[in-house]
Formats: sequence, C-alpha cells, structure tokens
Amino acid sequence: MIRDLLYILSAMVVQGVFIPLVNVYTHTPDIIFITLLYIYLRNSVIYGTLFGFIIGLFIDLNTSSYLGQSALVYSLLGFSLGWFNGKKMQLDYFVKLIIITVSFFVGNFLFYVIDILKSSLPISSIGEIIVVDILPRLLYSILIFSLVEGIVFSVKNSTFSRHRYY
Amino acid sequence: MHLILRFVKSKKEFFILLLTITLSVTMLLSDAVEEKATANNLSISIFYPFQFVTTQIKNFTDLIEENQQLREENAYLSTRCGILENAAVENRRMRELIGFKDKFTFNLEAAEITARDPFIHSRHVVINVGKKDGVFPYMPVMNKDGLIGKVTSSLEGIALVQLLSAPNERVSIRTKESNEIGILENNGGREYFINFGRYADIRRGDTLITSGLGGIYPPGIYTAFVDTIVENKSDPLFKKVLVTPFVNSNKLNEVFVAKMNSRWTAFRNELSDIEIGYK
Repeated sequence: MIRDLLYILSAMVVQGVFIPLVNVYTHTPDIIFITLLYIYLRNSVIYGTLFGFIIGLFIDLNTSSYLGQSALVYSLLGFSLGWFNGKKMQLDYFVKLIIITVSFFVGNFLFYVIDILKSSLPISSIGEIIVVDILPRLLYSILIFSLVEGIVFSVKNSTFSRHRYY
Repeated sequence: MHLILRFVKSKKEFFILLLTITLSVTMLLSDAVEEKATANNLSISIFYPFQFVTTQIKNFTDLIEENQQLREENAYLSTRCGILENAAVENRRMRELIGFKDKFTFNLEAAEITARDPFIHSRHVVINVGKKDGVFPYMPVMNKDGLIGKVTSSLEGIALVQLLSAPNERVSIRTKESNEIGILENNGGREYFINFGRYADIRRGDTLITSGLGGIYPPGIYTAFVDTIVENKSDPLFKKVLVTPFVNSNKLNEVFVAKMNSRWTAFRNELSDIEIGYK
C-alpha cells in the first residue's frame, strides 16, 4: 500500500513538473492514470477496487471533477484489472500493452460520459471528445508507457539470459 | 445467518465493488453543496504542501526561460509605459471634458499561483491570498491579458480559483465591435464556444469582453477572441462561434483578484441564497 502510494505520488510529481514540458499541441500523456493501471495489474481485485476508490475520491476532492466521478471510474477499473493479477499472460509485454490501452480508453470514456451527464452537454459530443481529446492522449500515454515498459522488459530478459548461460 | 455470511465471504470482491459503486453514485447524485465545499477545503488544506512543493520545482525549471522573457517584456513595457502615461493624462482630460465618470471601480489584490494540481482534468489553481486579504468566493480573477476565472472557495491565507476551462463555468460576454451578447461556454476546456443568433454580427477576430450581466464579472474585461464561425445549416436559430481565450491558463504565474465593491454584494448574497435553497 505504502509502495503504491509512493508510486502515485512520484507519478504526480512527474505529471506536474516534467510532463507539461513535453506537450504536443496541448496534449500530454497521463502518467498518473497509467501508473494506476499498472498498480491494478499487480494487485488483487479487492485491493484494486479499494485503492482505486480511495485515489479516485482523493482526486475528486482535489480537482474540479464531480465528487464520486473518478472514484467510480477508478474502482471499476481496479476491479476489472485485478482479475489479471497473477495470470501468466500478465507477463507478456504486448498483452499488457493491450490491457492498458483498452483500460485507458474505457476509463476516460466513462469519465467523460459522467462529465457530459452532469454538465448537461449533448451526449453526441462524446464522439468529438474521443477524437479530439481521448485518442491523442491515449496514443501519447501508451507511447511513453511502451517505451518505459519495453526498456524494463529488455533489461529483465537480458539479465535472465546471462544467468542462464553463465 | 451463517449461510449468508459464507455467501458474502465467497463473493466479497463483488460486494466491495457494489459498495464502492453505491458510494460513488450517491456522491454523484448528492446535492449537498455546503458539505462538498467543506470536504474540498479540508482536502486542499491537507494536499496544499504537496502541491506547493510540486509547483515550486516546476517554477524552478521555468526560471531561465521566464527570466529571458521578462527581460524582453521589460524592454518593451518601458517603451510602452511612456506612451501610455501620455495617453492616460490625455484620457483623464477628455473624460473631464465630456463629464464622464468612472461607473465602476474595484480594488485589485495581487496574488501568486502557489499550487496547481497535476491531474489532467484539473480546472483550478490555488493562490496565496485568502480571507485575511479580503478575498472571498465569487470574486473575479484576471491578469494583464484578461479574464482567468473566479474564486470558488477561500481559506485564511489561500483561495481556490476556478478557471474558465471548468465545465460548469459560464461567462456572459459581449463583442466589443458589435455589442452582441452571448454566454461563453466550454466542454471541459477543450473548446470554448458561444451560441449566437444566426444573424448576429460576428466576424473572425472580434474581441469578446465581459458584459457584466452575469452578476459575478464586471463589464469590460477582455476574455477571448473569435476564432472560427461554424455555420450549421441544420440549425435555423443559432450559429456556433469558437473562441480562444486571451489567457493561457497553463502559463499563469501572477494574477489579480478583483475585490468587488458593494454593488456586487447583492449578487453574491443572492447566489448564496440560491445555494442554500438547493439544500
């Protein structure tokens, strides 16, 4: 729990300090969300649900999002991704990438659906939001994630090979 | 009882999910404005030191770039200052001549942005003035470029400013050129727009200033300029006008809080009454 909170705090520092420097046409990767998804994959269903709920509530209280909005989305994602914990497929780089990509999209989609329902914007604007906001951020976030994860994965593999042959 | 407990134990993942969903949905549907504000204030107070440190680190990284910009701006402004001083003297003289009086005056409280949350969906900043400086909710916040937002909650030494990019933020504006009045809206800060009547006289590049009709913002504050006019043939009544705010909320450092005089207190009281009425 403490370790995961430290991960999230570090992600917040990176998001707040360094990420604005790498914005592309005002789009920035969402490091906090990616870190959260990564934590979900490494933990149980109950832990993911509760951790997601607490972090979501904390975010709702500290931002202008509606109270319960992030809590609902993050606990649902924590619950869903918790089922992948301990599965062999979790170790596969590409499977992990697909899971993170889908979850990122679904999470943001749900977030904006609540946003639209609460702020009485037309539901048709969700299509525009997907194209203009969610997809660019998703692509950028996944690019950053795949680079970091790819480096970690290759380092792990090379270490494993050395141990095997020598 | 034993059976029920065993069932709950065997399906505890689903029960915990059900509990978190119920809590979240209850919070989403709740209209307890006062409680939400208290919870927000409490959370901001706890989280403030962390936000402060993050912002200070970011400020440090921006320092060199900012220094260069300030040097250039300083040279430009000192030239402009001389011209404007002359213009101000002339303006005062002209006003006296035509008997024009300042209809609206307010004090500006300078403030610095001390924290901004790092979340993607953030739509507020924290400033280093609060109740002890006479800063209270619903006071407009601006800088030299134009309107930034309004104070939504105020503690003793800090205040929370809701930016124009907040989804529930609406500003009554008018075009400087043709006096057309509209409501500036946005969809979560991605796009700023106004639905004007189909035959409204709006042109690309028109300047938008606050109309003063909303009761919160005083008239005449520069807000945005017209970027694109979307002519939707299927809508016979309105045309959507996309605008760009003058202030880039990602590059804010110093701001001014307009401490409104008693003329606006009535509006504030009215707004508080509305909030109480909701409960």
